[in-house]
Amino acid sequence: MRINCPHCGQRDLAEFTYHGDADQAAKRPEAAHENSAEWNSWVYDRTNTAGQHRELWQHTGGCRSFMIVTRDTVTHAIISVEKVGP
Amino acid sequence: MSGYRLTAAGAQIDRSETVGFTVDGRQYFGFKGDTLASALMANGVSIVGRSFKYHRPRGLFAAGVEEPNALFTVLRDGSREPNVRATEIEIYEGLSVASQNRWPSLDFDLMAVNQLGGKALAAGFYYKTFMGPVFGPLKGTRFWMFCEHFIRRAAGLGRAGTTPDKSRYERVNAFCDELVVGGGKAGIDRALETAAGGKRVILCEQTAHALTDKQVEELSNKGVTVLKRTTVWGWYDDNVMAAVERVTDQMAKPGDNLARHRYWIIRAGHVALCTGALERPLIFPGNDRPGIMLASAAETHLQQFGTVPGKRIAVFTNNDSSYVTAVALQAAGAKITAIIDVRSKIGSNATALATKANAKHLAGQAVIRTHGKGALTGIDVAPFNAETNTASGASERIECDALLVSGGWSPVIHLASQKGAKPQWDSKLQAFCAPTPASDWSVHGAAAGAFEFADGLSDQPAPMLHINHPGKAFVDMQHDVTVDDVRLAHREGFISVEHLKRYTTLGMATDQGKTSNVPGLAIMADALGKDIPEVGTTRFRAPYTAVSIGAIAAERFGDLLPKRLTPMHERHLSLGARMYEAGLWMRPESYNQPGETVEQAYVREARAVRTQVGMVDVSTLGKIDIQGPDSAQFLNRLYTNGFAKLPVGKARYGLMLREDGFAMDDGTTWRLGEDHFLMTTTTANAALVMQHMEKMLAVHWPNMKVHLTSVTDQWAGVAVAGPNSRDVLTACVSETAVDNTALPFMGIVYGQIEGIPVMICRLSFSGELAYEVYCGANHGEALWDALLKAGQPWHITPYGLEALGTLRIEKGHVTGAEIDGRTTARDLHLDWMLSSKKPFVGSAMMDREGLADENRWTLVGVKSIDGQKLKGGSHLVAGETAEEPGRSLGHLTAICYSPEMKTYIALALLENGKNHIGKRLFTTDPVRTGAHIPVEITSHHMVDPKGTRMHG
Amino acid sequence: MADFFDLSSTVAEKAKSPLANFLVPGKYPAFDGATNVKLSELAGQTICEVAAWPDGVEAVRALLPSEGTVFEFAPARWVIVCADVKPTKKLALGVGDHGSFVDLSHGRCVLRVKGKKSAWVLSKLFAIDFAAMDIKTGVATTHHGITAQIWRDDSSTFDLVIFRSFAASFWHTLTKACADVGYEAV
Repeated sequence: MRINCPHCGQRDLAEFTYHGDADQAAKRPEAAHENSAEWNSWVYDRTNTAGQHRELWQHTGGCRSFMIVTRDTVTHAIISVEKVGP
Repeated sequence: MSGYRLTAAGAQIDRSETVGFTVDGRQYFGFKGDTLASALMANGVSIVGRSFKYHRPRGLFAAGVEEPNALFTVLRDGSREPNVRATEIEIYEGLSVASQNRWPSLDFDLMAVNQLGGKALAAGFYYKTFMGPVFGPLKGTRFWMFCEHFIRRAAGLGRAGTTPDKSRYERVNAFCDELVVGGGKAGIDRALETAAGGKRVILCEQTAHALTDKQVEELSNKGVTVLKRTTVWGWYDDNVMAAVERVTDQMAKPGDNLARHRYWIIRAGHVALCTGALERPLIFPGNDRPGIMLASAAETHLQQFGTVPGKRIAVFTNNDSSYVTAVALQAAGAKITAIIDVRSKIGSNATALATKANAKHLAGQAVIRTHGKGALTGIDVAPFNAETNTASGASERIECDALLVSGGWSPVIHLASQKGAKPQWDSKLQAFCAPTPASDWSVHGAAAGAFEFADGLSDQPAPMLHINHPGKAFVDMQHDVTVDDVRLAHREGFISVEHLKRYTTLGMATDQGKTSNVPGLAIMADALGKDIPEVGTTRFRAPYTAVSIGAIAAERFGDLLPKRLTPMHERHLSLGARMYEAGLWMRPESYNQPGETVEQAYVREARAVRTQVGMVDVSTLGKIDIQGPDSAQFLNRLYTNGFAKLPVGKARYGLMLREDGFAMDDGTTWRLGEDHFLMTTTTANAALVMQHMEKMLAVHWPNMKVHLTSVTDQWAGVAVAGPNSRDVLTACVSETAVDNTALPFMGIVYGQIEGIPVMICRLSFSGELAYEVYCGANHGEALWDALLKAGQPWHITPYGLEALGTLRIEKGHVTGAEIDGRTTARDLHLDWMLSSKKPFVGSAMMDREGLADENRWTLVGVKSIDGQKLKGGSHLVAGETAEEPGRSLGHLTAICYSPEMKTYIALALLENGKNHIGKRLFTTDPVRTGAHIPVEITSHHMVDPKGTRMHG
Repeated sequence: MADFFDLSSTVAEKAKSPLANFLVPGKYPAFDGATNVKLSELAGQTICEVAAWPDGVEAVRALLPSEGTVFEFAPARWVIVCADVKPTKKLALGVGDHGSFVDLSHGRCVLRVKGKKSAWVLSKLFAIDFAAMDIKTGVATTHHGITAQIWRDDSSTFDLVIFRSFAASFWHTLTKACADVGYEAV
């Protein structure tokens, strides 16, 4: 698999680290001390998507930027790569 | 087979150069350019292997990667490579190979008695005989255990070597607009066409002989990168293609400069499959006798090597293509005795070729039997019924010493299948073809089903691949799977193609069924009364042909594995340190003096730290430079304890949790400026912590102005620890004072040691008065020397990881052995670090019910009561004896001999640890040592629990 | 922080290259006697990274040295390798509120791979399309999962910025990768 890093261009999968579901990551609850159901769900609950999945990847073997890779988990086709942050 | 070499012909061989080689120690000669197969044929060798189960004699069957029979073990430089196809071994002077699966010799194999009990080894034999409950002494699993030794000896292919592979392998990364797989006509045409469009093209050809030097030159001149002896064996996502180039296998003296195999990883914009087609056999009783081979194999041998399989050659076919081969052989001087064709109606062009070949032409007939003791001497032919795939009526005997068979052609679509392109059945070609390609791949030539036979010949074979007739007819020659085995699988209900494969092992040998898959499907289809496409086909997996493990590992083993060395590495070696691989780092384990054991060395070192002074290389600690106006706030959110108010010039011990509330890592962080921090992490977790922090900044707190940089390698660090450590520093540090006022506990000062700029922080892992001295890494060795010299009056003792461990175990300080991903801050008695005044990563999850349970495993100290040596990883139990230890209550995470406690001690994680303090338990180690040792559970603070030493 | 930068400044006579015991100068020819690659360490370089805040990118860019190895290896982050300490010192002092500056002169080792087979040798170690890499540009990548930054100085000259602790074992790997084409270590 190759990922088109927004900064570095096409690179091998081996240069990247997967950081989980991007939509899930975006929903991190407000900082709070108490254990809430919301936090529990955020840490543990995941969908197991067959089809298009928005994934958080980091180019650890290059520029170390984060990106959201929309990938089809059935065909492995990458539909889009968006950079995270400014 | 009475194979021989013609006096002319053979495009690949150089008759001026004779090459000597040995098979099972016997000397043979061939010509430069020969494969082992062609050289053996030229020498008239007919038996080249023994079959897997029945030890039947086998001869050459194919001329390329599809060869199922001629497997040899190549012996070279003391190592052995088994199961190499003779058709792919290029001979060189001194080549030595051994035949396989025979005892004592190929020509006389005692194991061939297996043939007598032929039925006993039918499909499913092992499952039926050896699985299941035990009834009596000779049934089921126990019977298997009894028989295994004998069966393993009788069945099987080559034996792998046990000596290390001394060859070097390497990886090459390549990029191109188009990868052309296959160097036949279609491949050359495609490569030239694409290159003409200005594109970067790589062409891979698996054989040595398919491309002539002239063709290579032409391709190279047009800008095509040509890789001969290179098999593209895997197709991965986004056209990442795996190929292996055999660089030195054909060389008599390869030398040390070249890697034996190169593992090419080719990222291709487009992949053009020009992989050709493989001829299929026809399946009939006795079809495995030496002397029977594919017509295409005879053609290749004739054209490339000038070798011919027999003096009297018969041809058995269901299609037109083998008529061309017959004519070519006849023209070269061989005698074609008969052409037997299952079709009753044959085109006029083929008929004309039969006449030209001067062969007896038997239409509508089939071979039903073969004769010969060992090699082929004759065949029986009878009228064929295409409706029932049977032959009946009077049979005719034909004398021949070679029989060429052809069941039509199958496009080589293995790579496309790997990619996920489902093969589609073409009923005219009677073959599975690749589906319509997409924009990033294409199929050309015979691989696309475009068989270009000579003018007027049909590309459509008769829709049959086997003759139903009594007798052993082999579908998969390498695994000895017969037609009867396939039918048995059908009768017993293993009718899906996946089940058929596993039950009979059809297509599961080293050739992966290149010649047997389609005939196997045809027989199953016949048994089911279905068409072949309804039976289906399995998806091909990588690799297309066998790949050396060395090539895949390439530069990732042995002396090429990356290692991290600290700046003081050479000094450790010259001090006699035993080096220890800690992750990628090389660290001193202990500095053994002559005659000292590791334990004696570390005890001496640890005692020196407790009584005088020691020094240890701490350069491996992860170090992260943190800068920016939000740095303090960032750390405050990250660490469980407060960092916002840490004064400049001070360090603080910090603990990080994961989002799920478990402990992640600990370390000290130094505030170097208002907006500037230096974080240290444990050696093992440096990369993890960096990623964690980067993710928090990039994803969750994108508005924070914080920059992170790994500076692990920028700083060399030496910890100076012990009651005399301040004396040592006072003696050598200039430009700053180091007394208790200038440098209090957790203080930071800047100065110089022998002119080297240093940063000193007073902190302690050992529990003694201690300092960490940092300098630029290029000065590390000079700093080490300076401290060693300055410490001489106090007998400063370099200490290694073992002593470091001992000191921290005595103090109950945790490392990765305790922060193991399953422990919480409370489990490790670090709850004093959990701030209640602020939220931090993990704070919302750390108080969950399960994490507050008082029965959780918590950190305790363990003391050997009778002085027996403890072993890390042992379990803590209440049972008094090794025989009845009771359930595990926890385990030892780290052990040492404690010079302070004068016994073996350990840290442990123990169920409800607090309640066990002062009580007696046992450590038990049933699997390794069997030791069962009484211990006393103590507080994890075993030495100086009040910490007066380090604050002194 | 200027003090910090001074702290790691090099005292030449006390400094030691990570390759001091590993780089053995000499010719190591290929089978045919050729040495198609020249390997050397660019010792004594000033190496640093500078990163800009989102509102400071242009200001930092204006401060970048015009000579030497300078490239944006990550968004708004540059690596700089200079033979002279002055431009980087100027940068260190000038970055101020626009971004941050980290001296890595001790933490990185710069290797030069030069010669007609340099791209071939590097292609064994890095999954980078060197044929498509422009002169005077750089990339950040990895070998074995270990970070390396590669600068193409001219068509056949590449400078590798690697972590100091890996320098010795990387050198060993690099020389092995050169064995088929022959190399000279200087």
